Amino acid sequence: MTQKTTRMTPWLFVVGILAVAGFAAHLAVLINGQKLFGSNDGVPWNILVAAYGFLASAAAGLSFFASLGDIAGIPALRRVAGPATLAALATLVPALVAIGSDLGRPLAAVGFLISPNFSSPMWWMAITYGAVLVLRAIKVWGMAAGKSQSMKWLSWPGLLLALAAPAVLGMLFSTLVARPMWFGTTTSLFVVVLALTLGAAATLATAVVAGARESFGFLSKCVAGLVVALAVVTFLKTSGSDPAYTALYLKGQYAPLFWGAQVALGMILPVAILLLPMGSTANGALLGAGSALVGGFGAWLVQVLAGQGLAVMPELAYKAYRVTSIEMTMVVGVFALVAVLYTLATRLVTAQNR
Amino acid sequence: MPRYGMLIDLDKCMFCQACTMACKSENNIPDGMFWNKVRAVPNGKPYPEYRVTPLPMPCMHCEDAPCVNVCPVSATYHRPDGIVAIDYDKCIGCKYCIAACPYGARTFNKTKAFVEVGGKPAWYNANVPIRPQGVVEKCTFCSHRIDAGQTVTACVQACPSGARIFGDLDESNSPVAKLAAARKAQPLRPELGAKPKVSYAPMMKPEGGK
Repeated sequence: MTQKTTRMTPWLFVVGILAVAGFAAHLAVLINGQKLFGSNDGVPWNILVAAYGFLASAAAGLSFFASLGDIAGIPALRRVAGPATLAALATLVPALVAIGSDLGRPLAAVGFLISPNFSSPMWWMAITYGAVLVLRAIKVWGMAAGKSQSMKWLSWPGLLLALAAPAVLGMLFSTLVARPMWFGTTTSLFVVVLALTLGAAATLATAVVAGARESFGFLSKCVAGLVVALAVVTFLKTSGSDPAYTALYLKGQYAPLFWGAQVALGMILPVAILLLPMGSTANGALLGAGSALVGGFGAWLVQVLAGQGLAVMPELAYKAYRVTSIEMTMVVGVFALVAVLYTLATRLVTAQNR
Repeated sequence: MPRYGMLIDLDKCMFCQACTMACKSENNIPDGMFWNKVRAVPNGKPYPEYRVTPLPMPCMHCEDAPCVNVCPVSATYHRPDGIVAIDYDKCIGCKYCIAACPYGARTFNKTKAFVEVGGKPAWYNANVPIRPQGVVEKCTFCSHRIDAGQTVTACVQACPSGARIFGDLDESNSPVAKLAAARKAQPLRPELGAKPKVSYAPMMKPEGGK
C-alpha cells in the first residue's frame, strides 16, 4: 500500500460514514414518505433540488473542461482531463440520487421511457443528462481499460452535451410563466454560465488533488474569467426582474444567502484569491476553487428556493420553507457520496493502469 | 363532446367553505390537503377599513394547461371533454406541475391514504379512487360524477348561495354559458395564456366579504 493510499483511508472512512448517514435518511423517506420534508405546495422543490442543480451543472462543467482539453489541445487541460472525467461521473451519479429521492414515486420514473412527454423540459433534461452519464461512464471505462487514446473522438459529443445539458436544465425553470423570477431566457443563460464556472472550479480542485500544479495558472484564470461573466449575467437577471421578486433575495429572506454565499463567497473571494500570486499555489487554488463551489451552491439555493418564493398570483399565500434535519442529512450524504465515488474511481483507474 | 367549465359568482360567495368540505368528503381527500381552496384576498387597507374578499380557486382546467405541457411522463392529460386529469399510476411525484401551475391548484400527497392507516371513514366515497402516497392531486371537476351521467359537481351541489355554476361551455343555452355572457365573466389572469375554463363573474359592489 502506498503512502498516498494510506493517507486516503481515514478520509474515505469519514466521507463513507457521512454517505451512510445520508443513505439512512434516504431510507427513512422511502419508508415514511415526504412528510419528513419541509417543502410544501407553495415551495414544492426543496434543498435536494438545489443540490441536484448544483451537482448536475458542476458535472456538465467538468465534462466540458475534460472534453475541451482534447479538442483544443490545451496542455493544462489535457493533464487534468482524466481526473475531471472521473469527477464528472462521481458528481453526476449523486446528482441523480438527490433528484431521485425528491421524487414522490421514484419507481414510476420508468415513465420517462414508456410514457414520454416531448413538450416537457424535464423529459429533455433527463435525456440529455442520461447521455452525459453514459458518455462519461464510457470514458471512465476507457481510462480503466487503458483505451483513452482511442476514445478521443468522444470529446466533441462530450463537449456539445456538456453545453446542452445545463441549457435544458435552465429551460426547466425559464419556461415557467407561473414563477416570474425564473421566467425568461436569462435564466437558461445563467445556468449555462454557472455550470461552466462550477466546472472550471471543480476541475481546478481536482487538479490540486491530483497534484497537476502546472494546470493551476490556466484554470485559475478560467475560474476568475467565468466568475466575472457570471456576475454580469446575475446582474442582467436581477435588473430584468420585477422589483417585487428581486426584493425577496436582494433584501428579504434570502438576502444573506445571495449577498453572503452567491456574491461574497462565489464571486468576490474567488476572483480576489485566484488573481493574486497565492492563486497559483496548491492551497490558494484549492481555497479559490472551494469558495467558488460553495458560492455556486448558494446560487443554486437562491435560484431554487427564492424562485418559488413568490408566485405570479399574489393571491397565493407564500408558505415559508424550512429545511428539515432529514433533508440536511440527505444533502450532506449526497455530497459525501461525491467524495467516496471520486476516491474509489481514482483508486480503481490507478490500479487498472498499474 | 361537451366542454366543461365553471362560473363563480363572486357576489354570491359567502366564504362559508361548504364547497371546500364537500370536495374533501366527495373525493376522499386526506387530512391537510385541499383540492378546492377559497383564498382570502385582503384589500390592503388598515383596520377598520380592512376587508378580505373570498376567492374560490378550484383547478381551472386550462385549455393550454402548463401542467399538461410540463409533466415529463404524460401523467397529466386532457380528457376529450376538456377536463385536466391525472393518471396516478404514471405520476412520479416530481412536483414540476405544482411549480408550473399559475393558480396554485395542485397539492402534493405526503400522507399515506387513510385506508392504509386507520380504515375507511364513514364518509368514504367508493366511486373515487384512493391516491397513492407521493403523487400530485387536484380538482377533477368531479369527473367520476360526469362519467356516471351527472352534471353537478360536489362543490356546486353544496354551495348554499348558488355561487357556482357548472356545465357545458359550448352549449349556448346552458346556464353557465348564459350567465358568463350576461355577467361578462373573466378568468383569472387571462394574460398568462393558459385559457382557464373557470371564470369569475365580477362583484357588483366595490368591496365584499367579511
